[in-house]
Amino acid sequence: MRVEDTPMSSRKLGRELGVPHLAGKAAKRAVASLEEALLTREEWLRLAAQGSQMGLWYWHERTQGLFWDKKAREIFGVHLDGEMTLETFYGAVHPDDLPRVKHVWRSQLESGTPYELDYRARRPDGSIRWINARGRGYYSKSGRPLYMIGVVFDVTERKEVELQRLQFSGRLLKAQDQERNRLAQEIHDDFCQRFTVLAVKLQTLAGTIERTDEQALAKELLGEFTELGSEIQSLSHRLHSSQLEILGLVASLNALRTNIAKDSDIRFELDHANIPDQIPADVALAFFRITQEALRNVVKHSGASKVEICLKGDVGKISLTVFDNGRGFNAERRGTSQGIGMLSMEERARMLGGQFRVQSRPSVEGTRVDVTIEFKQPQQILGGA
Amino acid sequence: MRPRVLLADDHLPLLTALKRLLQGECEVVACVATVADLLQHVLVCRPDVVVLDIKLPDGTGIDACRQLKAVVPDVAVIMFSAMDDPDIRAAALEAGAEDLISKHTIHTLLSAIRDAWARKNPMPDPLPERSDR
Repeated sequence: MRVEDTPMSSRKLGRELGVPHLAGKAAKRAVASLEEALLTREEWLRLAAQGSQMGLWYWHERTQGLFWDKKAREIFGVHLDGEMTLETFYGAVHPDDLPRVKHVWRSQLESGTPYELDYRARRPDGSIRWINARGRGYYSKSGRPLYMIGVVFDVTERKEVELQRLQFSGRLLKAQDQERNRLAQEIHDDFCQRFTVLAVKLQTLAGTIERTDEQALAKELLGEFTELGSEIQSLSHRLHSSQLEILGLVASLNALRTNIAKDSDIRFELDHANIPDQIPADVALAFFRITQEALRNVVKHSGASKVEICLKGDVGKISLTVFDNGRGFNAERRGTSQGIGMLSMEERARMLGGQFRVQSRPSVEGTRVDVTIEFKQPQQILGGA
Repeated sequence: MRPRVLLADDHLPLLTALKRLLQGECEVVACVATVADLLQHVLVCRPDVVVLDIKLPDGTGIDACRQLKAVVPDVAVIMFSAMDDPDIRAAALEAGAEDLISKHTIHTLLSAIRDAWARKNPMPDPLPERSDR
């Protein structure tokens, strides 16, 4: 691999870019003005880069040469002078992120799409930095990649704030669930049980009554008891449904689908495979709530005629895809109600270490939500079940 | 002849109250609070009807019902749950339960037991009719 410590000359650049060949003074003038323009731009860029945590890089496809400026080297914690190779770069990327980095930047260069990726760098002292890398490829007339120019930003602080915010909202969501659960449990375990016991006792008593007028009163009392008990029970149910616990994830999703389909013209299809019987309660709840939110979005905003819900299990992980054929939306606009819904889904997935991705664009058919959560298989509960 | 009933619920006051309610018309052969105890007692006591809560400390009533039916297929199971949820009802019936009644309509339990018993014994000793429905 060849070293490219300095950017190529304007002449060479012109050749690579296919600038028409000029001879004599005209050529000299053209090159001089091009060089001047380039120098000015380079100077601007250097000034801009100096004040920010931005490093510059350049990849030359034919020679497989890599150029990094000082800032880029500082960000990654690699040597400040001397040869910079692709191996040095790969060595500085966090091993867990390396396959993704290799795949994304190569495929973006080859496919002609601008490259943007967040990944972690591991400095020689062991510290971890978050990098936001962007780049753009340049191509020959036949579409062959010539080189890619890009920048890298050290976004560690932003990532840390994001992570804190994510953890905080995760805790908020969890606290809300726990509190609802606690209230519902208390209502169920205390009031509802007491009501049931009282109703049973009242009925036992009613069975011993001989006089018909007293029997009628007992029946009336029992009726009122039943009504009151039913209302308290439905309050507990609204706060926290134990359906998921009793039926399990697949049956609950199926019930959710049926319930939503009742009031809508949309066709909901549920497909599932290899879903284990024992899923940790928080993972099952996350999938349930994410699907609930995704379907709510579809019904409210998409104008879709069909939704496919697909749940697949693999060793120690479950993946969910919710795909609709609706009108799509701008997935980047997080301020809207739809965006907030998306954010809450993402947070539910991320707080369990899961991956969340939404693919959608306005006026383009379809929105696709993908969620994968890995988990440890829980121990078999004692006594079967 | 009265139906032999086994009660499975982990709420002791309810078990006691149910036992008292049923004892005139049924023979309450055992009261248990866990799925494990239920599976053990059902073999020993041989009840005609099991009244089973949807949620026990060591498992769901639906799973317990499936296991019960695998061990003693002829036992009638009446489940009761806090909510009258159609999906839970469908799952209970699919697991082999005769009926699912919600706790706030627990006064229908006796008639549910009578119905289950009648289905099991086409010509049973007539049970005294009572206006508890």
